[in-house]
Order: sequence, then C-alpha cells, then structure tokens
Amino acid sequence: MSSVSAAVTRPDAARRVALPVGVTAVLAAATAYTGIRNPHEPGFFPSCVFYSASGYYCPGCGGLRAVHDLVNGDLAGALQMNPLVVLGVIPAGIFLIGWWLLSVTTDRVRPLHIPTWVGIAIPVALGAYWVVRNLEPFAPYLSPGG
Amino acid sequence: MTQVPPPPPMGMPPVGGDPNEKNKLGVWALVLGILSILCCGFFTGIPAIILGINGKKAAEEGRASNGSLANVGFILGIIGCALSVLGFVLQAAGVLTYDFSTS
Repeated sequence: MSSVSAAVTRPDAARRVALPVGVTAVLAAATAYTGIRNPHEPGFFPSCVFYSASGYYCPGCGGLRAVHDLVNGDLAGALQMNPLVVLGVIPAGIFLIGWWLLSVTTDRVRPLHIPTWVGIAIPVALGAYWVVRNLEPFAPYLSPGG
Repeated sequence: MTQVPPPPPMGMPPVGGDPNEKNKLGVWALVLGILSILCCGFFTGIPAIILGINGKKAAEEGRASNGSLANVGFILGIIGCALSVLGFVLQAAGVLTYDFSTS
C-alpha cells in the first residue's frame, strides 16, 4: 500500500478520476434527456422487452417514466410509476456515484465494501418486487398500469 | 534506494498482494447484474457476466475477498441476458407486439 496522503497529487490521479466523472456526466445527460422527452408516450424510448413478451411488468418497468416525472417535479406521479426506482434505485445510484467520486479524490474514503448478505438480499428483494407488483391487490400501488 | 524493483509481470498475481485489490470487480458485477434485471437486459448483463467471472478468478487468486458478490453479479447477468434474448427471439418470431413505452 502506498502511503501517499493526497490522492489527487498522484500522477495517475487524472486517469482515476476520469472514469467516475465520465459516468456521472453520461448519467446526468441521460437523466436530462429523459426529463425533456416523454417516456409516457411511445416513440423516443424502446419498450421493455420483458413486458412486451409476457405482459407482466419487470422490476424496472415504469422507471424511465418515474425519472421523467421526478425531473419535472411530479413526485406523486413518479411513485405511481415505480416506487422501487424512486425510493431505492435512484438513492442507491446517487450514493454509489458519490462514494465512487469521493474514493478516487480523497484517501479518507475507502473503496466501497458491499457485504455478501447485502449482495444476496438485493436480488431477493428485487425478485419479490417483481412478483408482487404483478399481483392484483398490489398492482395499483406498485405497477405503472395500476 | 537507487534501484527500483521491476513491476510484476502481467497476469501474474503479486506474491503477498493486497487481498482487496480486485474487489471492485465484484461490486461492478453486482451493480451491472442488478441493472440487467431492471430492464437493461444484456446491455449490462454481458459486462456483469465478464466482470463476475474475473471477480471470481481474482478471489481464487487471493486478490479479492468478495468472490460471492462477483458470483451473484455473474448469475444476475445470466438471468438478465437470458430474459432479454428470450424477449428478442419472441419479438423476431412475431409473437409479441410493441404498443407502449414501458421501460
């Protein structure tokens, strides 16, 4: 392990920072585009393959529409489209990007360590959400069609 | 110190290396695997599979401590790929129709 205290003074600092900054920029641009274009209407965005094939919603269905609604200040509409994306995926994404940016710019933030149980719990929760949002009693709250 | 030790040869694990050096592989595999389930299909599923395999390999070589995380990403990537391939095959076969943006 290197004992250099300030990561930003390393010669390869620019390269270390370039990837997270680039990913952040791409995601920001994609978010802005989703906010400008309207995924509620067909045309600008591809359909979900799983929904088209089966008629059932995947865990991400309604996600683009939720992002569109959020960008345009409609929190209730966003929650109606996909509460998991609004309450789970977007906060997790912001947390991951923030941690990544900090971990390459300062030595005080270590690279993120995800415990194994979290890595297993997230897919299990996703699978449960997948099933439950397609069930009749829960569809009005969890699916974009409800 | 006047003499700089040569860097370790490519592809060889450094002896007594950092056991967390390659942990980012597992984290990336998991994140991309989850995204492949969230409608992204093989766009992130294929990278998740590749990173998952590399992450498991790194764990075996003692350069990562999160081999199980890499394995989860690997499996999620396969599921995401399989579902999207299945969807595209059904679409090509004319079984399904696109009617609405649902992603």
